[in-house]
Amino acid sequence: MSESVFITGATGFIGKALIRRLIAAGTYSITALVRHVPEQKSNEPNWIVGDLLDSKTYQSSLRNFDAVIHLAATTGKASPYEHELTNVEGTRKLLEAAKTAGVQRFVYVSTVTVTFPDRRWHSYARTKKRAETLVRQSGIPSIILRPTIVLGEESPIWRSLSRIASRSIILMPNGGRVLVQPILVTDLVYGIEQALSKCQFQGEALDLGGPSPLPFAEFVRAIHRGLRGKEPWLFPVPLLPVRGVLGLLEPVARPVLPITAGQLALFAYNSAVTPNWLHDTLKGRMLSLEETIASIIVGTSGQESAVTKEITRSSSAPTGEPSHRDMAYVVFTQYLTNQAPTEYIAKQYRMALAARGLAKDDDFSAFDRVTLNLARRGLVWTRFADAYCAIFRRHGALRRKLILLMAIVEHTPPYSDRFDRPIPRSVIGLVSFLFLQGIQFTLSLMVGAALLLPAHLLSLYRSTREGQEGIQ
Amino acid sequence: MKLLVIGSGPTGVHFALSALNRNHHVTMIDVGIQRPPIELPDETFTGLKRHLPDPANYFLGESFNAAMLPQPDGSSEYYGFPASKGYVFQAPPYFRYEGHGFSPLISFAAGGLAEAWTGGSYAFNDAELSEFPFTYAGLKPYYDEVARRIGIAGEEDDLSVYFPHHEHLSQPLSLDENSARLYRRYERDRDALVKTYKIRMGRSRNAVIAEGRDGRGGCRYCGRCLWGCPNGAFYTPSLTLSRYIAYENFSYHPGFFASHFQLAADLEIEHLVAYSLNGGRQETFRADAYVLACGALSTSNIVLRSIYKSTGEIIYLTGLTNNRQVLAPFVNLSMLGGKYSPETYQYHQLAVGLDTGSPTEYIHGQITALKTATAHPIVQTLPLDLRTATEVFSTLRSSLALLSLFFCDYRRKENYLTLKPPARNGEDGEWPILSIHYSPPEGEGHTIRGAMNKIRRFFLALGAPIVPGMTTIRSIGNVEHYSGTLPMSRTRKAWVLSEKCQSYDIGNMFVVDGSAMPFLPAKNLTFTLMANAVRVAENI
Repeated sequence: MSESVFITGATGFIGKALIRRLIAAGTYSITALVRHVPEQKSNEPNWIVGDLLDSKTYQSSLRNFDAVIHLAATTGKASPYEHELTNVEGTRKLLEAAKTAGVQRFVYVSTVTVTFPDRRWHSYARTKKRAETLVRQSGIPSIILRPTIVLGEESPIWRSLSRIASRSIILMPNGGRVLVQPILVTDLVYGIEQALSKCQFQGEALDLGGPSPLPFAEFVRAIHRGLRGKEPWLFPVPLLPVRGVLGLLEPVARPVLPITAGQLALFAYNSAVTPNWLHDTLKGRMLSLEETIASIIVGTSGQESAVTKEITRSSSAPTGEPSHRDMAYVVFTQYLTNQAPTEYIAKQYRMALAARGLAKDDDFSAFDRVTLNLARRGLVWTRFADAYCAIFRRHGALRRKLILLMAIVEHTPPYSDRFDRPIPRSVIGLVSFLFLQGIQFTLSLMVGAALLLPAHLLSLYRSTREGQEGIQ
Repeated sequence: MKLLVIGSGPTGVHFALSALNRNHHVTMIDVGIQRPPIELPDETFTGLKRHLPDPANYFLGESFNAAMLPQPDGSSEYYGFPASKGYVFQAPPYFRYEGHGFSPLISFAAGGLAEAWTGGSYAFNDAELSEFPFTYAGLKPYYDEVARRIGIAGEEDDLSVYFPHHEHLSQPLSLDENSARLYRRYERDRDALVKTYKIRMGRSRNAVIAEGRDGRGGCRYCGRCLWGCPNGAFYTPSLTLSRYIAYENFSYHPGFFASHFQLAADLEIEHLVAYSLNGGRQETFRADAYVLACGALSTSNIVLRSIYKSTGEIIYLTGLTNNRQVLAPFVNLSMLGGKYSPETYQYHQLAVGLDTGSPTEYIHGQITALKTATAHPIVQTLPLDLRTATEVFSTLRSSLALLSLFFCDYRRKENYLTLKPPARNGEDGEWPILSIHYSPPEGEGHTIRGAMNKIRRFFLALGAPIVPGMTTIRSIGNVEHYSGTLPMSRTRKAWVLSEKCQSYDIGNMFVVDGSAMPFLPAKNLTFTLMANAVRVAENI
């Protein structure tokens, strides 16, 4: 018989992954509380339109459920008031309704940040902590899960981190010494499912994180390597003054601040997992951090880990090249389309390089290798190298590779939109746009020339000399 | 009469159809590589991208050959043949050639090179036919017949001064926005433009039907023309071929490479020798008359090999002609900032005619607005980094268009086909290879420059400046209008044909393809070739 589960926060990043997981498991009847019914492709789950804070909207439906999984929360840069409203009051209303309905199992997905010693500037952690207390005091058999940093293609923190980590120079509060233990969302939702079926529901709180802890700085380095194929430069900055200033500014300037003092708590305290049995059950199935990052970059992280393991390994193993070369297509795809490549693009590009004889760097001239190495360093470098090659090396390896990739992306949605659907502009807008593009190109060309001209001249000189020696 | 037709291209199928209607027995042999099944025939071009499970495979091919990469010699093409038309250019191992100043396109597809044509169908006028052994009046009934069979969309307009009237011109297709605006501008300023530049504009005449008939659908504006029309609105010879398979007096033998004729002492053909592509088995085919319709290069190759085989002599077939093509991209300023609409007819919709003072040297132009054509070949021609080039391209996409200009060609003795002697004499398989020699006419550069100067000013006056520095002169061979090696002639001499396209040298041999053209006007020749093939069949 299938077990009926009521889920809040189903349209969020973890919620969507959880629903996919439970549907795949096939033994759950799933109902989700949502504000608006999302566009639905299958029959599952069932939706109940309502408001967490208004228990009348879902009270009557709760009666028939074996379990409630409470994911809904306000996160990120929201104000302390908003955090309070959803995280504390919302949880209180849900608990009251569940109690009345006689729900026998309540899973509360909290956060590892509730264990931070100082939650002064961190209203999210503060409110989640108070919600945990409410859960424990509710009298409903419950369990509290405390994930660490949750990764995945749609993860908000992944988006911010990958943006920051893709820079060549990265400011690292406190030198990034604190320990983190990020977990892939598919592993987390597997853990939630395990908790649902195996827990005693005696109010225990269990941390869920990745396979092993590592310093924040190493984590950022690994992302940078995954995206750009090289080591970043990390510059430590002191944390306390920054947090102090942010804390003072926040009440007025929160919407425009890039990050809040609360969010910076991640750099102040360890957020590694306190060992527990549930976390142990996950360990065997989890990818290494490098593999996790690679799977997110190539867009396979949504798949089950066992599959993911196979894909990431098979995609990096056979070429036998250093991994940063494999990852160049990530930079190149972003350079051409502003979007990260999917596994489909990755596969097609690899096949195309092999088919058109562009797979091996050794086949290119020394100068072509220089241009490729420069371009692989990251987006701006690709631009400099490409601008130079557009004038002085038009049939070089870099352009041939980029054009081959362009041929693939221009036929593959959604990347093809970039070629098919120009932004409509007035004639004046269009002229100024083209003018700005021209300036941008000229500047890139100048930098590209400064970087590449010496190497180009040297290679020309060498080939002339070799040519002369050949004649003699 | 028993007729053996070699080749299933435009001339082969229309010759055969007319011959069958006159109750001749027709056997057709060719290599006949078949068009692969059409992917998702109901989808539009954008739908294809969205719904094909592996779009890169469809658009670029298994080995990604449809991706156009910059060439070390700096040459570039604005478009390549898409992967879905790859079958058109597959060649059997038996066909070997070397080109001197000539890099040909070769097709052994069922339907021939015209499976990848762009449908331009313009009748030649009396001036252009002046070297032919007949006038326009002599050919008109056959133009009428071919127009009826294939359906030619077009209308009488300013260009009618260059295109003589024939029947069965059908309703033209709707113009895409870019072409429509350009044409409106021309119509507004017509008198001044024609007077100043001696250039006229009108609707293209295309082998496409707006309304469905004979089992073919009407144009759906699905944007897939370049990749292969999915519903038969756009004419290709394989449509005709699939139609008369049902005739009792017709037999079709694909899978054979026609090698040579076995000639008797008086040079009459005894039979045709062909190799099966399935195992290389040698087969012979006999008929009362043999009709060569496999395109000037293959037809000439068969004749050269036949003579070589029976006499050991290597002869020269002179007078190879081909149109020089110049491609000039331009920007229609009135479209700037406009929307790009992929759901349109993709080939040329407007044509221009340049009066050069000499009616035979008329210069013909076709205007193709850029629509669903692949972006990367164009993006890479811009002298910008590829990211900027992509931005510039997609911003300007809706206003871009390409003018392709064609120039006529005269038969000259320095352009010829012959065989290159084999390394060692011996068995079949050690055949000499076809050797193609071409050099452009003297003063060609001057002619092109003169025309381009006029064209540049004309297009500027239309508010559609030609993009400076991007005009390219395509190398000879890239336009598949090969012709002139066995021309019809009013006077009898070696290696020419009679008015009925019958060889004077090999009595029971007829040649109905481009080889038979004594002069190559600037206009696309296929329509005339088909009309001539019908004429020959009606009079055989």
